[in-house]
Amino acid sequence: MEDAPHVTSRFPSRESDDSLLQWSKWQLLDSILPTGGFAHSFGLEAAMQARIVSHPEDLQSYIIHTLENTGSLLLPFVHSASTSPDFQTWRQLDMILDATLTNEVSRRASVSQGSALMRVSSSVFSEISSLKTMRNESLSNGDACFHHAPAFGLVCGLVGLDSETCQRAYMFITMRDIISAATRLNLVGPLGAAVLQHQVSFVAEELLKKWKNRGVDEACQTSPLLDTVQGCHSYLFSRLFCS
Amino acid sequence: MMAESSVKMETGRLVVGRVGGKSAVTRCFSKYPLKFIVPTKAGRSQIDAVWIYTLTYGGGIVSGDCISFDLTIEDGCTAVLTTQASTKVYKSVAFKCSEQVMEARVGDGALLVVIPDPVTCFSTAKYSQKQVFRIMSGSSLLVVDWITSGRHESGEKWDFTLYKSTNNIYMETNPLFLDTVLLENGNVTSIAERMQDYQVIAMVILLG
Repeated sequence: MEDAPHVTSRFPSRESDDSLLQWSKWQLLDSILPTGGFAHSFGLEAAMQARIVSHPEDLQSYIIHTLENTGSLLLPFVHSASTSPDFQTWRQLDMILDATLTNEVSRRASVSQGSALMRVSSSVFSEISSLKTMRNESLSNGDACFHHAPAFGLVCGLVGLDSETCQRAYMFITMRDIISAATRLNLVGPLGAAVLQHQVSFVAEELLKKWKNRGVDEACQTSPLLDTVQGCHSYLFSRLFCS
Repeated sequence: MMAESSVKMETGRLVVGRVGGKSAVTRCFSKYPLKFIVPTKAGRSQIDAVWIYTLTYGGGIVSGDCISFDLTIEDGCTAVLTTQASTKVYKSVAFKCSEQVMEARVGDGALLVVIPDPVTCFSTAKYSQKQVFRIMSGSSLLVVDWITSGRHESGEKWDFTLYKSTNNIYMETNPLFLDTVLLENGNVTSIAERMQDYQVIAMVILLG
């Protein structure tokens, strides 16, 4: 994806490590990484059928509101997991997020993307043996949910990205997935989507600045309307997406 | 048992226990700006339930008020916590935030019903509310938490500065349900934009 290099930052480590880290980073953010993000519309499909989004202008504010909610609700989990990417912290965050996602549709979406991300990354980043160990141990105990935000923070943290980059990356993939869903729902064409993505990135950066580096006790919903609409997704008669 | 919560400025404490085979208030304390009223004829007499009305002097919450109370519903008891009218949060003075904190323990086989009128925040109001429920595996709980857009007759729609509402439920020590809604008129998006034409949000929790 051409936009991946937007998510850059300076790394203090040596130059060769730096270069390799960039490859890992791009791969993590690349849409071909099979984590199933594109099966989800983040409530956009339900919002469209509920006539909350019908024009391109509505789409832009929908994306911004969803990103704000992602920032306030999920970035604390990405932040905490990426700053201490260990088994104990991750399991704790996974449990807290499971109690926090009170909307069943988004809870299921988070679990399916998180599980896929853990499966893919433990195979892809085989040099990080702890990823596989953590995954296997949790699977054999059968008590982890594998929610997306803590899993993403854990993987990025173990790969070696700094916490701010992880949080920006999480905003990026959320935006990428909604915009991709919008093109498939025919709300915007591919070129229009690219233009929109660039426009929204400035707002997304503002939102990141506002919500980054917070603890999970500060995690909150800022768009209850969107949460409610997304919760209706499973009642849609015909649907393209899982959430 | 309540040692950790007595550190903060407590304005009320109420215990419902079983007396003579029926739910009854065994302890009741409140101080300004909070008052508990426990009428005996609020519900039907054949139903075993204690009705507790919380009220505030002046009919609303004044900027900077801090209300904090503990509620204990002992094993096998039923209590209803409600209000007489909507909780009005008046305009914020000198950017002060008003707070209301409740911590409730619900025993085994006990039922707590929290059905207040909605919160109505006046323009510029700042209000933060936190309700923590500590339940057992045999407890039942019904919670309604709702807010209106404000005094829309006066043209105030989502015109307050900040509203934060937290509802956390812990089963023994494990988090079971953690929810915080934050509506803040910020620089990126306003509350009215996020709520579109909706004038009320309500959350209903049923557990048991």
